Amino acid sequence: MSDAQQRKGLLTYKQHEKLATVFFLLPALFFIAIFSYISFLLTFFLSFFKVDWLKTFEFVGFHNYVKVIHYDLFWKSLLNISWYVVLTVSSGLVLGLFFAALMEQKVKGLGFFRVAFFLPMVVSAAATAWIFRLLISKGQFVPELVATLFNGYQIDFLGNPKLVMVAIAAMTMWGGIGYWILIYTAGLRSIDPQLYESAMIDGAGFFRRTLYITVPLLKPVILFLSITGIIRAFQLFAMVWLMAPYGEAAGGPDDATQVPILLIYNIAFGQMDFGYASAMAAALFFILLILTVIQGKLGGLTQK
Amino acid sequence: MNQQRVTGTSAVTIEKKPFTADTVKYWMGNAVMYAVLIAGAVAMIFPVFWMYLNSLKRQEYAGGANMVWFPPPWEAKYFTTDHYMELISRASAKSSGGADNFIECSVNTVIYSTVGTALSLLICAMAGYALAKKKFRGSNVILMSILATMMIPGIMVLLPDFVITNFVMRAYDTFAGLILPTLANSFGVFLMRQYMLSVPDELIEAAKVDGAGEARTFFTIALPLATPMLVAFGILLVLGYWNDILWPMVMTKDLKVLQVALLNLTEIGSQRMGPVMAGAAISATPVIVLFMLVRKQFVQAMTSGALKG
Repeated sequence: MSDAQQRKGLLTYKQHEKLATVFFLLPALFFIAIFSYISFLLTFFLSFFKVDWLKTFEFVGFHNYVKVIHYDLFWKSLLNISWYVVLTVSSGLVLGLFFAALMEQKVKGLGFFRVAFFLPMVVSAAATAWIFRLLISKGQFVPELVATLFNGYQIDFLGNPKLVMVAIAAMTMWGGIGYWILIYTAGLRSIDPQLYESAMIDGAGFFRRTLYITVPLLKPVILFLSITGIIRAFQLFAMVWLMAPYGEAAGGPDDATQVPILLIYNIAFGQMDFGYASAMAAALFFILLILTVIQGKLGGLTQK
Repeated sequence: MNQQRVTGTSAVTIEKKPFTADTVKYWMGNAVMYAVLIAGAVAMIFPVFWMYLNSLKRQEYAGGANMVWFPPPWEAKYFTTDHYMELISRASAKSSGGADNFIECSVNTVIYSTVGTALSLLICAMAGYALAKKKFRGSNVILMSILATMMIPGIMVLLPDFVITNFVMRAYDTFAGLILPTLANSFGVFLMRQYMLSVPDELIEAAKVDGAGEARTFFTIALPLATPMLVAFGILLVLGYWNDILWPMVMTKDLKVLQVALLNLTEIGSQRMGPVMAGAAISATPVIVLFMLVRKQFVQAMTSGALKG
C-alpha cells in the first residue's frame, strides 16, 4: 500500500504534499522576488534613464554614471564616510575587544555591566542623535565639562567641520559598542581556557594575554566584525540629518557630513531624479562589493 | 579516600595567602578593572538618564543663566510634564496646520512593528519549514537564491521598492505599502530553516499518521517547536521595525511613525530641547522596557544574527 496510491480528494498524497510545499514557499519567494530581485535589477534599469519627477523617462545610456563620477560632492561624501568608517570600525574593534575581555574576567556585578553596555543598542539612531545633540551643544554638558577641565577651552562640536564627524562616530559607538562586545564575547568563549591558564603561569598579564593569545585566535571574528562594520557604517543617515545646523539642509557644516545615503535621498526625493540617484546607488553597491572582496582576500591571506 | 580528600581541601582553605607584592598587584589590577568598567557603565547610562532628566526639566532651568545641571528630584519647581503634554496634545498632521501628534505616531509605530513582525515571522517560518522538512528537487537552488539577496545593501532596493509600491501598487502613505516590502526577509528564512532542521521527522510523520493535514502539522507541530527561534528573531524584528527610519520616511506623509516624527522636531529643537527629549523618551521607553524584559533572549538573538557571516 504505497502513499502514491492513496488518494485524498482529487489528488494523490504525493501531489498533495507538493502543493503544500509550494504553498509554504510561495509568500517568501514572492516578496523576495519582487522586493529584492526585481528591485535590484530595476536599480540598474533606472540608472540608464533620465527620470523627471517619475513622469518622463528618457534613455541616456551611461550618462548618469558619468555624472556621478564628475560630481565632486559624491567623492566628498565617500571621503566623509571613509573617515567615519575608520573611526567607528577601529574604535569598535579595539574598545569592543577591550571591554569583552574585561567582562570575561571574574567580574562581580557582571549582570549590571552587561545591561549598561547593551542597553543603548535598542535606542534608535534618531533618539541617540538628539540626546547627543543636546549634550554637545554650546553651553551644555560636554562643552562646559571641557571648559572646566581645560581652563575655559571652548569646544564647538556642531559648528566645526573637523569635529562633527568625530562626534557622530562617538554617538554611533555609544549605541553600537554593545554589539561589538557581544560578538567578541561569543568568540572569546570558544577559546580553550587552558591557553590562558598556561600563559598566566608564565606570568603574562591581561594585556599580553589579550595581544598574544586572544587576537590571533579571534581573526575570523575580527574579519567578520570589520566587514559588517563597514557595511553598517555606510548606512549612516539619521544622525547626520540631525547634526545639521538649525535651519540648514542636512550635510553641513561645510559639507563635512555629506554622506552617500543622504546624497541619494536628496537627488531622488529632492530633485526627483530617480535615474541619477539609482546610478549613485549602483556605484555605491560596487564600491561596497569591492571592499568586501578585498577584505575577504586580506583576511584569507593573514590566516595562512 | 574520601577522608583524604576532605583533609586535602581543608588544608588549602586554612592556609593563609602570604601578603606579598603579588597580592598588592592583584588588588591594584582588580581596582583598575572595576574603575574602567564603572566609568564605561556610567558613560553608557548617562545619556539615557540625561534624556529623561531634560524631558522633565522646566525650560527656564535647561540652559542660560538659570541653568540647573542636576536639580534635586524632590524639588517639584524644577520639573514639569508639559513637554510630553505638548507632543501628545498636538493637532494631527492630517489636519491643516497640524503637526505630528505623538500618540497617533505611537499607534502607527505599534501597528507597523507588530503587524510587520507577525507577518514576517509567519512567512519566514513557512518557507524555513518547507526548505528544512520537504524533500523536493531544486530546494538547494531556492535556498541559495534566497541567501544571495542578503548581499544586497538596503540602499540598492530603496528607490525601486518605492517605485513598485507607489506606481504599481498605488500604496503610498498606507500600511500595506509600508509593510509589504519589508516582508522579504531572507535572513529570517535562513534562521528558521536552520532551526526547523532540528524538528524531528518522527513527530511530523506521527502527526500525519494521526490524520493531520499539511497546514495542521505545520501549525500544531513545527511552529510550536520553533518557539525559541520565533522569540529570538521576533525580538530582532520588533526592534528593527520600531527603529526603522529611512523607509517610513520616503513611504509616508501623514502616516508618520515615531522615528520620522523625531526627525521633524528640528524646528522646536532650535528653541527648546525639552519637548525633543520628551519625544526621544516616548520613542525609546518601549524598547528599553522590552530590552529589560527579554535581555537574555536579546543577547542570544544578536549573537545568532552574527552567524550569517
